[in-house]
Amino acid sequence: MNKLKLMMILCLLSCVMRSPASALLASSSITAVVTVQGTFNLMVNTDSFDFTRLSPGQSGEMSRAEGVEVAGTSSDSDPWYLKVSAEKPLTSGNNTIPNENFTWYGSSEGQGQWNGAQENKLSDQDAAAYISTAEEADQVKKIINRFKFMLHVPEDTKAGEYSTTVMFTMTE
Amino acid sequence: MVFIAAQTIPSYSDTFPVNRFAVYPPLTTTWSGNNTNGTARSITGVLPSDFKEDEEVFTPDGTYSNRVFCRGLNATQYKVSIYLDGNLISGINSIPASSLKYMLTYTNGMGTKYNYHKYVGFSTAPADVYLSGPVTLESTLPETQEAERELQFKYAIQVPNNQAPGTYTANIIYKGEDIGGGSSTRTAPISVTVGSYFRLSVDRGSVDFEKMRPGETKDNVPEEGVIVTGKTNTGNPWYLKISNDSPLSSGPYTIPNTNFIWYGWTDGTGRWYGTGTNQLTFAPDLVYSSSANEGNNMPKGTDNHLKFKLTIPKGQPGGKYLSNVKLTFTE
Repeated sequence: MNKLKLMMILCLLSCVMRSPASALLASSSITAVVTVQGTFNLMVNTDSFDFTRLSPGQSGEMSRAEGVEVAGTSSDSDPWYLKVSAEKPLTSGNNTIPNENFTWYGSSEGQGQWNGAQENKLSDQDAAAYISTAEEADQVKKIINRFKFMLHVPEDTKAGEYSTTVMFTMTE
Repeated sequence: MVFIAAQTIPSYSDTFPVNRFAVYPPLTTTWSGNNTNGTARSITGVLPSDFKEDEEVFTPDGTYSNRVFCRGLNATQYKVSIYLDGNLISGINSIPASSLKYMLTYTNGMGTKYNYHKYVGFSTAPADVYLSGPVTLESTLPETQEAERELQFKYAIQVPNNQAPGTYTANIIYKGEDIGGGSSTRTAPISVTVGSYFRLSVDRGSVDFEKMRPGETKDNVPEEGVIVTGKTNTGNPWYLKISNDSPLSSGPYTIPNTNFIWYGWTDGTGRWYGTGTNQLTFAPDLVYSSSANEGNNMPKGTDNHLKFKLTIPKGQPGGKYLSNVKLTFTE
């Protein structure tokens, strides 16, 4: 009885293992893709700065000696760039100081392209201050750029407290 | 009046016995005397829907597919016809005789040529290919009394679009007939070897979930489904399986397959194995098995439709994640 069982098992095994040698096979592949949005942050370490008192014809640097620290972080895969602009000219009532007189410069800790080694006018709104590398777009790492601002007050500027909003924009 | 076969390889300098009708396709070495039929012709390497001509064979006299020599004597006219002895047969399967084509490509006769340089389907009844002329260029005698005439043929197969694999055979019959007199026939076997067709096609190369945020789930991708079509003529049961060789990956980061679901539906009559919640797996997972009548589903094949669902884990690092999803069609 046991012998018969063993023979049946062997027969079953043999049947299972004898797969047809000529069985046909074809395959095709499709690539599944998803872009997971990572962090994409911009942080500025102050919400205001000033030039203290400047007389007409005088130029001066911002009173905040350490400048403004702007940190960009992205893990969104795509390279990003940072721009700085003024929402409007420095204004006091009806009086303005044109943005040609308002400049920035600074330094970067990033490995990308920093365009602030020389003074740049805030009236030039097309140029990027910083362009990240491809690697920096994949890493959850702060890229710190330091901005300093300078202002030249034209001779004919009327006295007053002038203000504007400086905007930092980070874009993929 | 009866046609008889030639005893030697004819050439125009020979002195021929009268009333001859010879077939010696294609190689002269195979000719062996009286009543010898033609050597076998074969067309190989064809698949359903293919059209293929018989390859021409070089002989010392030139390149021919088939040469037939004919001559009458006492009758004023004779004709030559051609037909197949039946459908081409391979076991229980057949190819209709009309799928095999013939074409008269050359004759040195002065008579009437039928279907000259034009493929026509074989019939199982004789179809005229040549009618001898009442006179010749050489003399005013009827052509029957001049030197034998040569007819050359080419053959081709138009394989039916759902033809099962196999080697199909039949006999080409050449018939010479004196008008109002006797007749003689010779045969040449022909075979057509149809190969196995077993193909899988996918209607796109990628499935894109586009941008997603950590914690987000996206379903119904792609909206219209991926169409996976399996076609076979082998007659055997077959299976469709799905797998991926690695999870969705971006550099060192991965999204586990537990978050990657396939589902869909079939247009076939077999069994669909998707539950709606099947995860992608590294080992091929059964999607569909054919029904009995899908072993040969040519020419349309069987369409299966696949969709995918993906959940991005919370805290998943950003990046472009890729995975190769493999579809396997197997017997």
